[in-house]
Amino acid sequence: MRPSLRLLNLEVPSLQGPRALYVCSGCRQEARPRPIVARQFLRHASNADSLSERVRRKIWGTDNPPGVEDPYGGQGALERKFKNQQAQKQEQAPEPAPVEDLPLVDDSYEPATTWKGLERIGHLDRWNDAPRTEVDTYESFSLKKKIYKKGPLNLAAHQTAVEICMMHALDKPLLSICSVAEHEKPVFKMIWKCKIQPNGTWDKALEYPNQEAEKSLVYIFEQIGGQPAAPVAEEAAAEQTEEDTEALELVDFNEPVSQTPIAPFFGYQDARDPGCLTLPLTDADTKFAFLKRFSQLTGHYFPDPVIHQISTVQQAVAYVQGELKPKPKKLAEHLAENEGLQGMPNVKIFGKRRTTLHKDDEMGRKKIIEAELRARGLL
Amino acid sequence: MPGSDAFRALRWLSRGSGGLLSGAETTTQRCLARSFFRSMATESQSPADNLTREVPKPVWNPEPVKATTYSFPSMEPLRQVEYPQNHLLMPMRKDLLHRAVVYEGDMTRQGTASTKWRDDVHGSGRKLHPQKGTGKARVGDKKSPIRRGGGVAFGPHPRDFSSGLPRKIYDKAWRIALSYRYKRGQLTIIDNEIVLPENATPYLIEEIFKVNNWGKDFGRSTLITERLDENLFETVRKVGHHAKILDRLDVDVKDLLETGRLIIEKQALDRILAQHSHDLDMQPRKALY
Amino acid sequence: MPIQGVRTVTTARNGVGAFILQCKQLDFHYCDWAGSSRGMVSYLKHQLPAFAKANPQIEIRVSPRPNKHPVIRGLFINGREKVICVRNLEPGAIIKKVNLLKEASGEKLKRTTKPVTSINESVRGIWSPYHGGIKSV
Repeated sequence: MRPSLRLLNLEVPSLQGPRALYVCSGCRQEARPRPIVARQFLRHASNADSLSERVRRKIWGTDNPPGVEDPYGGQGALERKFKNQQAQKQEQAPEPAPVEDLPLVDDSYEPATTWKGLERIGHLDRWNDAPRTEVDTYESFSLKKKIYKKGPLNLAAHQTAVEICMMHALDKPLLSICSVAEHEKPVFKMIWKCKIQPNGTWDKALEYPNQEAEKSLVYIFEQIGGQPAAPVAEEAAAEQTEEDTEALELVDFNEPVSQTPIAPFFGYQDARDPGCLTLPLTDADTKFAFLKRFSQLTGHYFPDPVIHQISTVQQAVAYVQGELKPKPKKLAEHLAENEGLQGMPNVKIFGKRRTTLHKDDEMGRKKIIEAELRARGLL
Repeated sequence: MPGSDAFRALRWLSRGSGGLLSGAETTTQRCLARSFFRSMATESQSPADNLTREVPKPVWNPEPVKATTYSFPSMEPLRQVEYPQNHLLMPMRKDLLHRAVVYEGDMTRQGTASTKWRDDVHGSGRKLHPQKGTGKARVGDKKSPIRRGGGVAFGPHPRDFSSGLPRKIYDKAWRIALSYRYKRGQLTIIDNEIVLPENATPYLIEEIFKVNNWGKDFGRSTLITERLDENLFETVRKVGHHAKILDRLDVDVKDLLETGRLIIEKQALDRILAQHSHDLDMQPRKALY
Repeated sequence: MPIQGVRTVTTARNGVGAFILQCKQLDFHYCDWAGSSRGMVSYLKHQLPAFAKANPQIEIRVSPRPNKHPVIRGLFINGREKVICVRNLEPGAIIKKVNLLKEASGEKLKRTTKPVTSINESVRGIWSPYHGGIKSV
């Protein structure tokens, strides 16, 4: 019950005092407000005066008392909406034009049978009801999508080795190479064409394809660590090299640039030269730089104990490839790979539990489905 | 010079104990005489040096363990840090880990279970009916443990379950747990603090965990920070199926062993190791005269 | 015509002339998860190939039986089968159990009390009340 009504209830006897001195308990019950639901209709009935209205009139002694007509809440939200809609309908009703439009819309309208594709309204106050914000973009150091194929892994190893070799040869800080996430295509191509002498040292192992490539690569790598404005300089260098090389007879270099950024390593499948695999990783700084760059290019990290064990580039690549092929967890898979058991005619390996159903099947005792036999006219 | 010290101590001992070491003294004298003769003969080395030299202790400098530190959200390898072998390369001792985990479990038991014995139950001590003459079994009061509503015999009472564990063992268990993680490559050390950008939502955490293979499919991960950052903790706890986050003071040995990997701030790791190496720092007690 | 005894023809005995192994099939069951199968899994990984190669006449079936202890089941020519549970056994102990099954005849275990057991018929034959002297009856 609203407090206002309770107040009213108390006041009724005293207000009616002058006219009728005594109000019996039954009548007082009559004067009591009815339950709210019933009363609201009464209150808002268009022509009937509500009890509070009557009381107000009595208090002020006039038929038009000042103040709000209904100070206690007024119409409910539903009623207001309903009224609005009715009003709109009444407005729309005289206009014939939109009615003509409506059927056109109706033709294409299909009532949804599932929630799919419908607009989402409201939420359950869970964090994933809200959309992502721009703060939630994650910039990771390495590739977000790891490389799993053997060819690209070799490519990455080769590229890393060439880069580290260059940095060694130029005597620059090794780690600064990581500031260049991806090379321009012509630069990558030159790196790809470089060769590494097997069993060489880091500063002397690199073999350039030709003089021009050597010049341009050295020029580019000179830019990397030194100036703070490295990217711009590098781009300029890349363009320059492109022009240079185009001027030369290397026709391969002017390939369409449009398809570049999609595939890693510009669509190259495998490294041309496996010489980088023999390079030693015994020097701590070189090793760290190599592994860092390699993880950046491939997305695979090396745990600390593994780093301790690795001593050549070959081992680093082998670790990543071994990580890609995890050991089988189930014994059945393990036995299926076992060479000793594969050629045996007397050994059978099952991946699932053998049930009596299987046994009956082997014995030729399948369950007979009579309905099927009848359907085929066999019974 | 340690040699001469030892020699002096030997002489002092022999004097103090009233010839207790007289045998030793004589042997040294005999040795002296012999070496003297030999020196006369060959003139190879000084006799005193030969005598007073202590047993050479083997010098054991194990190579330190190298660990890579990363920057937090981007996971860029930054540098290699070194830890002593007795911090991150302890041999596995399952028994010590078990004792440490049990010790912690005992310590965290609340121990507040409580029941009322017949004296504590509300009610009078009146005899329910006379001892004889009713034809019923003899009874005492209604609070007896065999009656409904009576007291509970041998019920639980609040108590302290905590058990003890020698400090050296507990400290060792900490380092063994961390070493276990390190040896399996499950210890990721963060060079800076574990922080997220302002207004980051759990989507970011989810993304980080997905890219780095830290999530539920890879056995969850525990993040350990030095400082309790309420915002970060709230955010991470919303993706509790992937991650668990603790500040250093809240970490137990059990937490180190639970999830798939640990992602720990370097500062927190250093503090943990420093606080749990009492058995290493301890010097053997020496008598002072 | 003098009475002639029934001529005995040599009866086939296993091992005289030819030997047929009584064990025809061995089933190995294990559980991938449970610790009681650890020895069994190790046996299947390392020892089974050699055993299978050495005994081509025995059919070997390996199948998982989740949430159960590991079991070896031997099927014999006489239609009987023997089952041995090898929970928590080391691979070495499992080798012994496998050999036991392989060498078994498949018969029920019998208690032998006499040091010598003959498989020949009794020379005297079985006594019959209707034959021989009936004077005393």
